[in-house]
Amino acid sequence: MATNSDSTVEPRIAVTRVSKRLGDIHALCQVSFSVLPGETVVLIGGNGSGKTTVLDMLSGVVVPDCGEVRIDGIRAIHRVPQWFARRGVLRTFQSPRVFEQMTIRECLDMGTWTSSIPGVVSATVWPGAYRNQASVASRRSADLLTRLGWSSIATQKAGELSYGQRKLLALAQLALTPGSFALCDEPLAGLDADKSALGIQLLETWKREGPTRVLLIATHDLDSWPGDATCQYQLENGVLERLQ
Amino acid sequence: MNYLYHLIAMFAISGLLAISLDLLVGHLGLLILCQSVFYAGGAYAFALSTTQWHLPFQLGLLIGIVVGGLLSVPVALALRRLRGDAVVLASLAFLLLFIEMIKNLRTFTGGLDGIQDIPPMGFGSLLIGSPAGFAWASLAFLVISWAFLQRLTGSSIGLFLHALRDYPQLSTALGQDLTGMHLKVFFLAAAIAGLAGCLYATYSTYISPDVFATSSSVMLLVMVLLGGPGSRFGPLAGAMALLILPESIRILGVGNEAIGAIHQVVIGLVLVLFSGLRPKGIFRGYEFR
Repeated sequence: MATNSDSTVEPRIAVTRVSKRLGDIHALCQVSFSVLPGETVVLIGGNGSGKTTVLDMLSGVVVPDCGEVRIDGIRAIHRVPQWFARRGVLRTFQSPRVFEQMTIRECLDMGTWTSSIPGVVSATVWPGAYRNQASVASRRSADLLTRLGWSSIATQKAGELSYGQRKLLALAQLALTPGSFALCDEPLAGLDADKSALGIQLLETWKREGPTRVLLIATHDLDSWPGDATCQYQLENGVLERLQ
Repeated sequence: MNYLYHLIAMFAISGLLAISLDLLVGHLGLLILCQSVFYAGGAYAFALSTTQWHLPFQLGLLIGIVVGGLLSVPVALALRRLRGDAVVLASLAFLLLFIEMIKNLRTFTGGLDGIQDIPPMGFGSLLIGSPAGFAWASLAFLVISWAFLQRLTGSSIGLFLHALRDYPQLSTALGQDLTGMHLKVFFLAAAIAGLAGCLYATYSTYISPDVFATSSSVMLLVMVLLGGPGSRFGPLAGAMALLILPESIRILGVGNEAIGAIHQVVIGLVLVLFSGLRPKGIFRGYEFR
C-alpha cells in the first residue's frame, strides 16, 4: 500500500496552501494535502469545519481564493464541474440526492452506462448494439439489486424511498459508475448498522475494481467510518491537520 | 378536397417544428424562442440552392437540413451553461439577430422581398407537384422523424437527458459529462426544423422574413406547451390544435379580416386557462415552474 511519504508516485489529488473565504468566515485556511493512487483518505471535522467545502472544491463547485489544486497533475482551479466529471470525479452528498423521478432500476442502470453513453445515432438506428450494452448493464444492476434486497421494488420511484434507502441508493449508483475519484460527504450518517455495513461494502468494492481509484470520505468523527483508511486528517475551523 | 390536403401539409410542417422544438423544451428543459432560426435557415438554404445554384431537390433538401443543424452550434454553445429565464432571453436575442441578418443580406436573401419561384418537390424524375402528393410526402417525413425521436428519447439517452434536465448538478456530480450530447441533441432538433423549412419553401414557392418573425417562434412554443412538453403525442396535438383553431373560428362565420385578431385573443385565453388548469398540457408532460 502506498503511503504519503512515497514521493516518487504522482499524487492523484494534490492540494497546496488553499484558502477560501465564505463571507466573513475562513472556510479553508492554508489547506494542503495529497492523495496517492489507491488511497482511502478520511477527513474528520465537526459541522462547519470546512469538509464540504473541500469536496465542493474538488468537484469544481467552489473555486478557492488562492492556492493550487491538481487532479492527476493537471491544474484544476477555475475548471467547470463538467471537467471534473470528465476526469472521473464522483460525488455523493450529506443529504442524499437521487434522481427522484426515476425508478431504482433506472438509477443503477445509469451508473453502469455512464462510461459509454451511447451515441444519438447508435441508440436509435442500431438497436442491436444498444441492447447488447443494455444487457450487460442489466446484469450488473440486477446483481446489485439482489444484494441490496431491492429486487421486488426495482420499479419504484427513487423519490419514494426513505432517507436511509436514498442514502444507500446514492452509494449504490456511485458503486456502479466508472470513475477515478469518489468524494463522499458523510456516506454513512443516519444509516442503521446493516445499511452502514452495506454502504462500506459498496464503496470498497467500487475502489477495488480499479487499483488506482481514490476514496475521500468526509465524516464528523472517527468512529463513523469503520472501513479501511490509508490516512486521516482532522479539519477544524478551516485548518487541516494530519492524524496518522 | 385540395383544402384538406393543404391542412395536412401545414400540419406536417408545423408538426415537424413542434416535435423538433419539443426535443429542446420537453427533454432538455430549455424554453427556446429561436426555433425559427433553424426553420428559416433550412428554408433559405434550400431556396438558394434550388433557385440560384439550380441544384436538384434532394441536394437542396440535404443542404437545408445541414444548414439548419449547423445554425444550432453557436446557439447550443451559448446556451450551454444557461438555465431558466436566461435561456428565453438569449434565444430571443439569437432570433432577432438572425431575422435582421436575413433582412439585410439582400444579395443572398432578397431582403424584405424574399425569394420567389422555388421549385416544387421532386425526387429525380418523380415530380410531386399535386397537393395530395405533397401532403402525403410531408406527412411521411413527419412520421419518420417522430418515430426516430421516440426511439431516441425512449433509449438510455432519454434517461440521461432527463437527468440533465431535472438534476443538472447531481448528473455532473455522478460523472456524467453531457456537453457533447447537449450539442448533438441541439443539432438534431435544428436539423429537423431545417427539414420543415425546406418543405415550407418548396410548398409555398415563396419565402420572406415575415414567415419566420418572432410571432411564429412564439406560436411554436405555444404548440409544445399546450400539447405537453416531453410527452409522446403532446407536440403533435399542440400543432393540430393551433391549426384547427383559426379554421374553427372561420366556421363560426367570422369575416376574414377579423380572424387574425380573434385568433390571437383566443390563443391567449387558451394559454392562460391551460397554465392555470392544466399546466402539464393536453398530454401530461414536463411542467415548467
